[in-house]
This record gives sequence, structure tokens and C-alpha cells, in this order.
Amino acid sequence: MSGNTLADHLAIPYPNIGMAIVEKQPETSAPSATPLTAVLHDWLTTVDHKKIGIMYILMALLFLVLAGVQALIMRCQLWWAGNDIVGPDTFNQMFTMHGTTMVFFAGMPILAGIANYVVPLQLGARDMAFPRLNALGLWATLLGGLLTYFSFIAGSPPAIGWFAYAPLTQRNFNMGPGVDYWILGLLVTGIGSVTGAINLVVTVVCLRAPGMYLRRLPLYTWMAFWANLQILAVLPPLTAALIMLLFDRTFGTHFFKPDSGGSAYLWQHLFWFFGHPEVYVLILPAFGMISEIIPVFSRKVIFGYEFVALSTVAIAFIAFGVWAHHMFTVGMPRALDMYFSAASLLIAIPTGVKIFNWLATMWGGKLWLASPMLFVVGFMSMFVLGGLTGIMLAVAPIDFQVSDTYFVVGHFHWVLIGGTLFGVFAALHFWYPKATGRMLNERLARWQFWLLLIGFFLTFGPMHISGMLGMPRRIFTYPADRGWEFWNQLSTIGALIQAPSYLIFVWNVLWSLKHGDIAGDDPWNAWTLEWATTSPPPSYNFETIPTVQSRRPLWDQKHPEDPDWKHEE
Amino acid sequence: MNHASDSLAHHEGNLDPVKAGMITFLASESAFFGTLIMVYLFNLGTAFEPEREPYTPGKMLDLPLALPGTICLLLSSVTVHYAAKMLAQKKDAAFRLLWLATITLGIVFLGGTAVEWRDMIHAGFNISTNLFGSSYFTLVGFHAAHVTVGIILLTLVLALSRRTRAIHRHEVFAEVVSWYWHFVDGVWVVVFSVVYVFGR
Amino acid sequence: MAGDGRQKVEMPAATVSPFVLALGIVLIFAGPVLSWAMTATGIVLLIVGISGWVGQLTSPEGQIEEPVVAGPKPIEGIAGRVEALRPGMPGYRARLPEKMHPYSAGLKGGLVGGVLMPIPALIFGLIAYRSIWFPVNLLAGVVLPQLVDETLSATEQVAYLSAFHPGLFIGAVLIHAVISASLGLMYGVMLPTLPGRPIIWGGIVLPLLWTGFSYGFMGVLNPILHDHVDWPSFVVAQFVFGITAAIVVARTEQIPA
Ligand SMILES: [Cu+2]
Repeated sequence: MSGNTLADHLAIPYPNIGMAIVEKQPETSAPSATPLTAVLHDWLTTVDHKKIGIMYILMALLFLVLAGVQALIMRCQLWWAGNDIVGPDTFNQMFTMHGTTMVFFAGMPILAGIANYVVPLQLGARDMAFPRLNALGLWATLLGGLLTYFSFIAGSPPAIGWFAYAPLTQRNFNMGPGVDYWILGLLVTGIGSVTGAINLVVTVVCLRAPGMYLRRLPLYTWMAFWANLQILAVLPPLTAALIMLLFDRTFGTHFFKPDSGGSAYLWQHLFWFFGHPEVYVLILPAFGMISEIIPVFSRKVIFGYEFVALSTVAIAFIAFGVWAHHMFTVGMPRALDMYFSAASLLIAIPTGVKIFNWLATMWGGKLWLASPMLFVVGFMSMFVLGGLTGIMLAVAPIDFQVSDTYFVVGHFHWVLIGGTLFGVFAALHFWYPKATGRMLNERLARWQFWLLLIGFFLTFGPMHISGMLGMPRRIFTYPADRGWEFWNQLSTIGALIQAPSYLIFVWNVLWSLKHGDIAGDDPWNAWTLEWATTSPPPSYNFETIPTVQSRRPLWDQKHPEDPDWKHEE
Repeated sequence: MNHASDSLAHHEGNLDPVKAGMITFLASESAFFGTLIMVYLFNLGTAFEPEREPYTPGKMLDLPLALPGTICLLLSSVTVHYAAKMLAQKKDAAFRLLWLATITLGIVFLGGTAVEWRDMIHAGFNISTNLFGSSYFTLVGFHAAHVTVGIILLTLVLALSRRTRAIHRHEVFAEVVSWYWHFVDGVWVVVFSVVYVFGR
Repeated sequence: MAGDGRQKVEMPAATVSPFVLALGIVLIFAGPVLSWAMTATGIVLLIVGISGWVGQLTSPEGQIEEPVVAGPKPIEGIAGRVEALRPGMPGYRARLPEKMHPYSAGLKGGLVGGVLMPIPALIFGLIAYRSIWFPVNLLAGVVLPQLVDETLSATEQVAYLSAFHPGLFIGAVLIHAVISASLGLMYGVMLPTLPGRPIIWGGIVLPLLWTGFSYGFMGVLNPILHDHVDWPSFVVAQFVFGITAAIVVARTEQIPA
């Protein structure tokens, strides 16, 4: 089976897996037709972390496209001042579903999928610690997403924003079942996220290859580990808050009803106690991907491994103590404003440490600007800008002025697209050859990169300006005399430039599956264990569990005269 | 969660994955209950309005009624501890006896809660009565649900002991279930102090 | 069939139970909005899923033997293709000092500078207000923004600031010592890494930088000092500190880094 690509791999009829001998098929011949039901059954019942990871990624891409369409609808609606093609109700539903989808059904699943695929391979393990629980996590995440989207069929998607501020979520303001679907879908997806996080944490703790002490973990695995610890800490509080909201709507409790003693303020605390660390759940794994790709494409060892690793821990801990920077305009006591402002500014330090370590890794290196590295460079430049506007927003007096304007929208998209999405695309281009046995097309990747970069810049850059000019978030239209129209039109043009880049990526993924260059085991001449097995790896990953002596086990094998372990101890 | 974990190559971690899994799960459960308890305290501090409400913690909560169940639950922590110990020493009969005692004590606790709730509901106090009712029934209800799941797990371990013993994982399953039970007891100690002692 | 002659690897078998369980969960949760019959169906599926799952865990069917397929190509050593960067090689851009001052040198420089530095300030105090306590009290304003009662008249404020206050004196000495020592430590570490003469950096460039900073931010950091400071003597004091500290640091013996 060596040299077979994923496409061939998938087509092996399910019962054959148990046979001792598998016929080697010629490279060019079309795989014998497998009944579709057998393939579906295979994917439905699999407990292989690689297949589960791929399904997570496919699910995320599907929801990414859906949420992207919603974004385009909003951008088109905002083209002219006074436009009312999309009415206010639909507009509210669009931004609610866009935010919810991007965070819960696209962002978290795509990161869970990459972690699922890569972490056991990097650890030198044969699977996750709990393979069946892994499958449960995938299906719960997917079915939760579908349940939320069922609200479209039921006639009324939620119109509450992804943060669902009380008391807007109560029955008297949102009478349809949309909010209930939103709550229930997120609860089910939450079960998937928590089981997935438990699985990943235990895998890292228990299934490391011999010699892979925690201080030798690949940085991607390390950061995915911390992101999942954060999921464990903040998703259950969200679950608790959602349940209370469900009880308010279903059993007539009073948690978030200010008119009968409840508190809308409490909901904000509960939601943002989850909501802020969630940002790090989404960005820490991207930091890890970047930390993995930069050394390989700079042909240098990572600069300051310990600092990159420990700054992750610092970020993870500080992230628990800053949530109320989303609530400066609520009217908190001055001491709280000052504390949350200072704590939020503090996060810039460990983040800056990372940026400088990445720069120092590239400095003096032999840069190889293949597609993964291209996205990394995009990440570095865009994420820094998003981080800087974040520092502006952390200062309470500035926040008082621009809170709830398009400045904030521009800021967090700059972080989540410029950061997470560029990081994820870098990772997908980096590990696609491992997962499929074929390279992605470099030309298409470059088209995708430049369209995404330019479109992204043009979409979210002008939002900072329209925000400064006072344009509030979440309005479905605006008067003509405010000077916002030009900036909105720029944003819309940007969105239209971005849109094809996603289609190019999808096309590239499909086309390369059949026609891409054969990748071989180690196309990037990289150093972590996933490159020590075949592409795609066999179901058991490693026939013999590898032994590890340093942070770069493959470097040690490639350079027996100067192995890393001589320098690390 | 099975003996396949043995073949999935764990080397550097000395911890059994099943045990590590239970620890991580309980950590996330603490975050869940921590939130419910924080909400209870938040509401206690701001909005239970003792003078105006007919249904207040002081009037509705009956310490003597809740105490026997609490003692049963605390006792069950002791029995489950010794049950796991007996199992490790391969004293099967003693294990079964203590394990059954744990299940019984758990059921008695649930029964106590049921009696308490029946009285409250008869007095016209339920989850939608006021903010105190919402907070109280949600917090105590979720704890009771966890006790119920615990009883089911304890029963499963007992029922499956013959089958699981065949693959040498019986002790591990029994041990992590006993951890879960200890956790549920620990949560009750906090809930009981917050609701029945401190919050009245 | 490569490797150590192993033919099969034992792996967990595929099973539909997790999917059934997830389906059960989502149906249970769909109950409140669709129909409680959904929840009932969900509970049935939940039980079916868990039973199947437990069955997988407790019977040999939960495991299958995966046949071993051809493994990866062995990784070959690439001998002699790596050379560590060393000073003098093209592409080597790091400028690290091979020798550095001991930390004590920086501390000493900072403290000596700190002793000499107040002289211009004290002279200013004596000439302008006939009191050496005036600048001392001003310095204490860094930590005590409400040092002077703002309802007092300007002359009363000056009179207050010209008197001796033991608490403010101790505060001022502490602030002065801490700032001097930390700046000195930074001198000890930084000066050897900067190109050219340390006296230029330490005596002129760095004091110029922080004096400019102080000038800009004094109103925020120490409003009292901002209101009463005599900039010429302030600037002179900074240069006295910088030059002294730089000389003391530069004259100490360097040790290998
Ligand atoms: Cu935040």
C-alpha cells in the first residue's frame, strides 16, 4: 500500500481491512469501485484519530462556507446607506449565526481536527487515549451544529448576537424557538468540545513516546495542550450559564430577568468568563502551528524554546483574569475598570515574547517561502496589527469611546482571521501532504494567499475607520449623511475579493487529492515525529513506537554527527 | 478506556489514561459546579430580599431535614473508599458488601432530597417561584442528578464486574468510579455549607 | 512486511456506538423545542449506544488486528551538511559581548552616580528656595501624588515643600536608591553590548533619552515635580548621573560571559 494516496486509501472496502494481505495497486489505475454505503459506513464507525480529524476539518470547512455566505449577505446589505433589501430581523439573524458558527462550528472544530490528526503523530502514539470517545466528540460537535442550524428550517434563527445578552434572550423579546435551538445546539456541541479536550489532554499526559518528556514536546502539541486545558476550564461555566438561560425560557426561572430579581449583568460576567479565554482557545493552537512551521522553513532551531513554551502558560493563566474588558461600558466600579485594563495590557508581554522569538528564529535563517511559510508571514504581520488594536481597546477610556462600534469588529476579525485563520491555512498547507500523500498545488496556494491577504486587509482595515467615525455595530442600515458609506463599500469590496480565495482553497484540496505531486514521507525535510511515518500514515501510525532523545527527533537521525541532544541537556 | 490503551503506547506518562481521564473530567465538573455556586452566592448577596419575599432561605430550608441525608452521603464516601481498598486486596465479598452499602446510602440521600422537595412544592415553593427558588432548585437539582449518575455507575461496575475482570481492568474502573463518588460528596459538602449553613 | 518481523498491530475496532450515543444526546436535547417524543427516542438511543460501547470495552471484539503494511523509507543521515554559525561567517549577525561586567559593577556605578547626582538639585534648592529639602520633597511626589494640599496658596505650598519632613525624606531616599541601582544594573548589562565608546552611550545618549521621556511624562508621573521643577538643574543632574555611572561601569574589569 505504500505510495497510495488518501483517495485510494479511502476506497478500500471496509471488510478488506481485516485481511492479512492487501493487494498493491498500480499507481495510475482507478481504485476498484467501492459501494458508497461501505465508504460511508467506514467513516461513520471509524475510531481512527486521523479519519476523525479529517471529518472535523471537513465539517469546519462546510460551516466556514455557510458563515461566509452570511457575512457576504451582511456586507452587501451595508453597501448603500439606507439600503433595506435585507430587513433588520434577517440582518440580526445573520450576524448571530455568523458569529456563533465561526466560533463554535468552524473555529473550534477545525482546530480540534488538526489537533486530532497531528498530536498523536507528533507524540509517537498509535491513537488518542480514548479512540471511541474521540468519535463521540466529533459526532456531538457536528450534530450540535446541525441542531442549531435546524432553527432555519423551524422558521426563526436566533437574533441575539453570539454573546446573547440578557434580557434580549428572554421569551418576551425572542418569542420563536430560535434562541432555544441556539442554546440546545451549543450545549450538545459543548459536550463534544469537553470530551475532545479531555481526550487530548490525557493523550498528551499519558501517550508520549519513550524519551518525550514534557520539556521535549513539539511546540504545537504543547500549545494545543494548553488550549484544551482552557476548554476544560471555561466551557463548563458556559454550559452552566446556557442551562440557566434554558431554564429561564422553559421552566420560568428568574436568573437573567431583571424585572423579577435576576441580573442581566450576571449573564455578561458568565458569558465573558468563557468568551475571553475562548479567544485564546482559538489563537493558542495557531501560535503552535506557527512555532512548528517557522523553524522548518527557516532551517533553524526555534529561538528560545523555553520562552515560547512558558509564555504560552503565562497567556493561558492571565487569560482567566481579564474577561470584564468586554464590559467597560456596563458601568463597573472604577477599581474593576483599572484592574481589568491593566491585566489585559499584561497579556501583550507574553504575546510579544512569542512574536520576537519567531522573528529571531527567522533572522539569519535560510527562508523558504513555500505556501505554508507564506501564510506564516501573513500571520505575523496581520496578527501584530490585531494585537495592537487590542492594546488600544484594553485601555478603558479608549474603549468607552469605540466600544460597540465597527472598530471592535475590525479588531477581533484582525485577530481571528489574521491570527487563527492564517495560522490554520499555514497548517493545512503544511500537513496536507502528510494526510493525503500529495502536495497542494503551489500556484493555487499563492492565488489563495494573495486574494485572502488583500481582501482581508480591505475588509477589516476600513472598519477601524468607520468605527472611529462612530458607526455602531449590529445596525442593518445607516443614514447617508455620516460619511460611513465609502468605508462600508471598501469593506464590501474586500469581502468580495476574499470570497474566491476560500473557493480556490477548496478546489485546491479536491484537485490535489488526485493530481497533486506525490509527497513522500517527509516533503519539507522537517524534524518532528509525524514525518517519520508514511504519507498517509497507516492506521496504527507507527509499527514500532519511536524513541526520542531531543526536541527534534528527526534532526538527530538526519544528523548523527551533530544531534540536538548534545546541545539540549 | 480499554486494554487497547496498553497497546497505544504510553511510556513517558506513568498515569493510567483512564485515571487521568477521570481527573480531567472532574476538573471540568468542578468548573461547572463552581459556576453554579458562584451564581448562588451572587444572588444570595444581591437579590433574595428576605424582608419582602414569603419564600426565603430562612423560611424554606430545614437543617434537621437535610442533615440525615448529608450524613448518609458522607458515610458513603467512607464505604466506597474501603470498598476500593478491599478490591485491591482481592477480598471480593467485602468489596461487594461495601459497594452495595454505598449504593444504598446514595439512594437514602436521594430519598431525603425527594421528601424535602415534596414538602417545599406542597408549600407552594418551586423553581419558578422566585430567584431563590431558581437558584436553589438548579444547584441542588444538578447535584442530585450527579448523585443519580453516580448510583448508575456504581451499579454498572457491580453488574459488569464479572465481564470486566476478564480483562484485568475491573480495579481501575471501580477506582475511578469511587473518585467520582468522592467528588460528588465533596461538592455536596460545599453546597450544603453554602445553602444550608452559611446562606440561611 | 518490514520492521521487527511483526505482522499485526492490535487496534481498537470500528464501532457505530459513539455515533448512536451522540445521536441519542442530540435527540434528548431536541426535546424541549421539537417534541418530548424526541427525548424519549434519544434516551433509548443513549442506552443502546452505551451498551454497545461497554460491549466493545469488555469483549475481544473491541479489538482488531491491523495488518502491518510497508513502512516508511528509513531516514538517512546527511553527513557534513550542517555548520553552526560563528562570528565572522557571512550571515552571522548576532553581536554578543564575549566579556561582560559583573553585576556588582552596575550596582556600584548606579550608587556612585546616585550619590553625586543630587548635588546640582540641592544647589538649585539652596539658591532658589534657601532649602535643601525642597528637591527631596519633590522627588517623594512620585509615590505621593497628593503630597501637597491643593487648596493652599502657592506660597504656602512652597513653604510646605521647603520644610523637612522625615517621612518624605525616607521615601525620597528609597526612591532615589532604587532608581539609581536599577539604572546602574542596566548600564552594567547594556553598555558592553553597544558599539563604540560606553561613555558616549551612558553619559550622553541614554540620559538624553530618559530626560526627554521625563519631560514628556512628568505631568502624569509626578505632577508636583512637574509644577515646581527647575529644568536646567534637572537635566544637569541626569548627565551627572549618566557620566558617573558610565565611568564607574566602564572602569571595572570584564569577566567572560
Ligand atoms: Cu477579551
